[in-house]
Amino acid sequence: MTRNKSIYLLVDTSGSMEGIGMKSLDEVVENVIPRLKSVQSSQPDVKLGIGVIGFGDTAVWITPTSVSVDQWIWQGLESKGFTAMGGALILLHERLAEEDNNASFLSPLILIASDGGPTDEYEQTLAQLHSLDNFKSATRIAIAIGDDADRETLREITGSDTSIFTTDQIDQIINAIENNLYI
Amino acid sequence: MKELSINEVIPLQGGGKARVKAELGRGGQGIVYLVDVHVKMMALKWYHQHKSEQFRKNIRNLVDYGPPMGDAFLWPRYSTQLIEGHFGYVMDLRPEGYYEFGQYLLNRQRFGSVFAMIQAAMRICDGFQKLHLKGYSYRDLNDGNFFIHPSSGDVLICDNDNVGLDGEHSEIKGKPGYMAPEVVCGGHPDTRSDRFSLAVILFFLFMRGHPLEGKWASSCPCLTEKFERLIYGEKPVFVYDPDNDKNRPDPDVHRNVARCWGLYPERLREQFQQEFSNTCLHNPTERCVEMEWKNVIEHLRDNLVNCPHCGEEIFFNPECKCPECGKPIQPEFFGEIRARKIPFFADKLLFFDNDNTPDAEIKIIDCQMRIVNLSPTAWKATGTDGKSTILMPNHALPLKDATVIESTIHDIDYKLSVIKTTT
Repeated sequence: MTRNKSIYLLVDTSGSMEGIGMKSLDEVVENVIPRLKSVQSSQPDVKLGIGVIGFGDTAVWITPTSVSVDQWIWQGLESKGFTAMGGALILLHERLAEEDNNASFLSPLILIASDGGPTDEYEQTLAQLHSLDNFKSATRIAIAIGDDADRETLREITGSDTSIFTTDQIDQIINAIENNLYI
Repeated sequence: MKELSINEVIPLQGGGKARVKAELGRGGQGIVYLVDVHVKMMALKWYHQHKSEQFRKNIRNLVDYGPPMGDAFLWPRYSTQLIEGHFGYVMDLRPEGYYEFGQYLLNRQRFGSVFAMIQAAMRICDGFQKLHLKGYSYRDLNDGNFFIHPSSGDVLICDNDNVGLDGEHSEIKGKPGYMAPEVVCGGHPDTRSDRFSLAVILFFLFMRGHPLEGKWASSCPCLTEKFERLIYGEKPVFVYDPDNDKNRPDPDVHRNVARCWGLYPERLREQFQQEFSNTCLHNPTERCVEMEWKNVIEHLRDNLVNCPHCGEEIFFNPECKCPECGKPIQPEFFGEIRARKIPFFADKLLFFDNDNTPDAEIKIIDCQMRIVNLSPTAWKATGTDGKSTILMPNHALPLKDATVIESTIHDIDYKLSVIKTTT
């Protein structure tokens, strides 16, 4: 039986990400994509699906439905405005709540990349996420961009300091992803 | 142009000063001086030509953003103030013992070993991976940008003044022969065109020739701008394109490439065929990232062994025969680590992770093949009986079938399984 595994990528698209922050993240994603494809080809019975949420002034689905890894093309994102991280968690919660009681979905992989901290309310949504079994069991990885990333909030989301990486820790990022994806 | 005199003091942006001590060299772009900055000896690159405000601003940004991780880059550390319209930047001094890559291509300098050459390839890829992960593109990658140590393969990347934020407008296009087809045809260099140039550099390093210069390119009557655009830009054909043989190396003209191509494992040749395929030549997004090159080069390094009969450095091959002396070679043990399978021969260095520092060595001690822990941390080795022993740094363990060695390097766990070859 084919099972589904969702990979959610939450990307800070606030104004401060413009330039070196977003370019750096682009590069991380471009390094990750071939590895995801490699995992997919070695595990055809687990369908990896990608969902991308961008959060700037508002949070929006960039890749609105779970696109298969083989068809996913990363084109980079425009950045402007504030950091609606809380809004991104709301969108994530909606999707995870749908998956939570569906036996065909394996525990998801959640990646969040940000160079700052939330400018909207996020605590309540984060508490709701923590009530979902699939959020609790998910591998949660944060990519802190630059020196001003709000590591405290990222730690609240990932649950651990050791799951927060910088963009130059690409080997560690890929290791954490692959540890989760190889079933 | 304004040349500087000995003991002249150049004010730096941000308040420091550089005192000129000596001239180190000069080239088309400018003069490099030895300077004293706060009692530290450094190098000042001083441009002949007036530089635009955009260029100067870019250098100031590079100083502010700082270098990529590691110590491979001779990065701008300070920019100078404008003096009579002239300008320069200060970087670390290049240590002794490193030679320009072009010198190796001209055979004026040689690598001490195949291993050193592979290490150089790995470090070039690693440097550009780190540069790109920082959000920069290099934009002018060519044979004059690297200095390589012939015995260690250590690499220094210089001329970082054209580095910029990826996607930003650049005044530079690159050096003919290294520019990506889309740049030759009028586009601007970026991370993806860097990746084409990197593949050219690697092809030069391993095959000693240009990947697009074969019979067809040689048949052009004269390398005019029109033909240059055709060969490197509009209709490039890889010399070993499996679907198009019109540009194969001419054995009398392109001797190096014709001779070297078959010497390397298939995986490297396939990677070049993919990277210089019609698809990748014309679709920059299809080009592989540096990590994929590093995996291929890791495969080369894993399979590079000293023949136990003739001592030559050879690539272990499925035929288990030394290509130099023709004698059969069969390792007593293999090691499996993640998806890699490494033949164990005496004096083989093993690399678990990507930091290019050896983590283990296979040694014959007291007539017994052993693995030596070269890493700074202790390993746990577990045998088939389930008993575990701790192997401290610089200690050796006799190899036995099915032993599993566990180690943690840079927060990543590695598991090496030892497998005895069945005969």
